[in-house]
Amino acid sequence: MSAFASKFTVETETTKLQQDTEAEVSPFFIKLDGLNDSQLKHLRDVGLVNETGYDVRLLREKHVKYLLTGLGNLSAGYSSLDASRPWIAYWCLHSLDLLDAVDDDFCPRVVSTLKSFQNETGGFGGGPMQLSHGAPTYASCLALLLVAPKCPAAYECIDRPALYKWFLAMKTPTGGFRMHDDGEVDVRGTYTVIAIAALCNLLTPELCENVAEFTVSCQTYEGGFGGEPGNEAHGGYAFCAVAALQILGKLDMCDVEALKGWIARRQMSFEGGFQGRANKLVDGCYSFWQGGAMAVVNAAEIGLSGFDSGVEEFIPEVDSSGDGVDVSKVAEATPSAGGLTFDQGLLQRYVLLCGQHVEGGLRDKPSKMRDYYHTCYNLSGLSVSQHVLSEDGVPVVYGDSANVIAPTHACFNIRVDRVKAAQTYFKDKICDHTELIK
Amino acid sequence: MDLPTVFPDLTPTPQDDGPSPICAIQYSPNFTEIMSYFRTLLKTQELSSRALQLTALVVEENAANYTAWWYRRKCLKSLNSDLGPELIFTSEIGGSNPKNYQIWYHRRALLSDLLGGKDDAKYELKYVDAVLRDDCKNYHAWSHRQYIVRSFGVWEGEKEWVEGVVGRDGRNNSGWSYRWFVVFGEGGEVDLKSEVTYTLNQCTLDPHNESPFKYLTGLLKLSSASPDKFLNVEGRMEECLEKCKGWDSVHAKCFVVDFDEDEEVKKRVCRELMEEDKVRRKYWEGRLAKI
Ligand SMILES: [Zn+2]
Repeated sequence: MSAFASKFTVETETTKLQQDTEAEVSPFFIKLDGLNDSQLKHLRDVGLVNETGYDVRLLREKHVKYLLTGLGNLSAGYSSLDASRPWIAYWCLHSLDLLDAVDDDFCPRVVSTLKSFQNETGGFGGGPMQLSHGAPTYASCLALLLVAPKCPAAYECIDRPALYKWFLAMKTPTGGFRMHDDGEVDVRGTYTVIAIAALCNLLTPELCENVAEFTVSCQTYEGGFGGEPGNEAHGGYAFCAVAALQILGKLDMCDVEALKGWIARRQMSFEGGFQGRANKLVDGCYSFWQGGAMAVVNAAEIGLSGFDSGVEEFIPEVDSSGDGVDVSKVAEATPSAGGLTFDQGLLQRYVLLCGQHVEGGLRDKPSKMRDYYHTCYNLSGLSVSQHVLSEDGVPVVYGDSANVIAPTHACFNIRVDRVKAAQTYFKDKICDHTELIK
Repeated sequence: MDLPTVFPDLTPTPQDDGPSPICAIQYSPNFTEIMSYFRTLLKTQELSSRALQLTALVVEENAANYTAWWYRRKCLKSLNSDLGPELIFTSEIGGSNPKNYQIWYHRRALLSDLLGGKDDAKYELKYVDAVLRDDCKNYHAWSHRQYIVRSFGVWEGEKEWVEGVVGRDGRNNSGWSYRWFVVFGEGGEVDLKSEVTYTLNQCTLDPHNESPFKYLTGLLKLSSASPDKFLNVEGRMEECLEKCKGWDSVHAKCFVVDFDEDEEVKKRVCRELMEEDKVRRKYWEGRLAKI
């Protein structure tokens, strides 16, 4: 077990947990070409290794099958997510969209369900008659915008003036946003409002006033961002802060160098995936929260704006053989490949080898259960790592060539083409404070 | 609680989520009945003690039902309820849901009305202690602690308390972050010498532990930018650089790259890090290019 990367001189609860995790993931990193025939046959039978070589495969069909269960009937055990149904819808739909597997006929049901979650006073709740809340509003709008090119009623379903008024009602004097009436104020509130306002062309100067100032006040001495001023730097909140600042065109108001160092340090040397905070464990969902945040920073560095995706026009038409796809393959020993400031091959290796459940769906780490949330953010991180700032638009792919999935927009986390379509649809709509609050 | 008996005058409101809804949860009959009465209350906006009781049933079924917590606060306010028992109720629900946003916010909302003096704040800190004993990096608990200390000005003893936490596990980064909050939160000049001494001791214990190194980096960045906020600044940078140059650790080397004035030294260390900290190869390449 000398291959372990983490070093320590004092054993503590943290180092023990870290060692346990390294022991947990190391069997997944075994050299595939060193396996015997029956082991290899097993991996090929379950689909994890391609037929002709030793490359790890993305279990597309199995993931699609798993994701469709999330959109159908859910067992009573999901009652604890009854205030998060838009999240389940978004996690599953976005994941399917990345796999190019959203069925056109399904889209009207998405619209009619989410429409019933919208309140006349603006915004969406977690279900019908639930109070409007930033998180379900974000998830509902993203789900609507990603199906809208197949079902234009989805665009019209969003009541923009009411939504705008609700955004303003949630705004605090310090430039933050409450998640809901009489609710908590943190950078999730900021990001969910700013991202949806941008996509729906509601980003007025009145809405944006002081917002970057509040967001920047959440940056910590470590370089990352906490949920509120003073809190520990954390991957989920850091993404929210970074993406919000980039959408506002004000990323340079924070200490970008310190931020970059902090995100870079969150990638685990041995596991290859990201952790959420210093001295915590790797978790597949941070493939997007941290990987996406770095993609946003890197895009900003070369002068791209919040709407620019850093991805060239590219919609993969992938069949399971992967034939005809132009990809740039990376191995684990190529830490310089790709245009993002992290090891893209190692991250993809973690997602594919440790994140995938053999029956479909993805997870935090091998000892954890799969779920829709981790499926969404593992795949989103994979997409960012394959596409954003790749040279000449050629995706950077670890394992089988057919692992390439559709490009997501790192600021909004729906597909790049969905963002463009929304921008086009809303561009001529009224975006004037006085008109909107009439 | 037999709902038809308690609410004989109300007609339950079934959930209407359109034709063939997606993500359709197959609720238990009990869940459906409770929620149907709750939806009726949302329409009538009845703020009564029976409504308050119903919200308890809703959050017991689903502690993440933020609408029910919100409605519950409206009831509490309207009934002018005693908030002490409410905190106990919240602790009971919170016990099995330590990462639930709604419950932590509910405590804050109650406390902002409830807390008379510092004794109450100390009581609340005990609750946080209990949660941190189970999970010493619970983000909500640390954030809640900051809220209490900041709102009620109970700063005394906090630095010693968090030194105990970090003493047990120097890699509790939440503890380090909290130390920063305490040291800079109260205002006044900070004695850089004592902060650096404490932190370098922790670096010495485990030079591979990122947490004290980043704390040190933060201290020196801030003291270089605004020395007037500190006491005993003189000589600290040299002391830290000398120590860091003696350690074979990526965090110590990173400190050298951040602060050493000799460009050749910075470049050499950057090149070393490109090999030793391979997963960050591109990051160190970038740093090297900027020197
Ligand atoms: Zn996770």
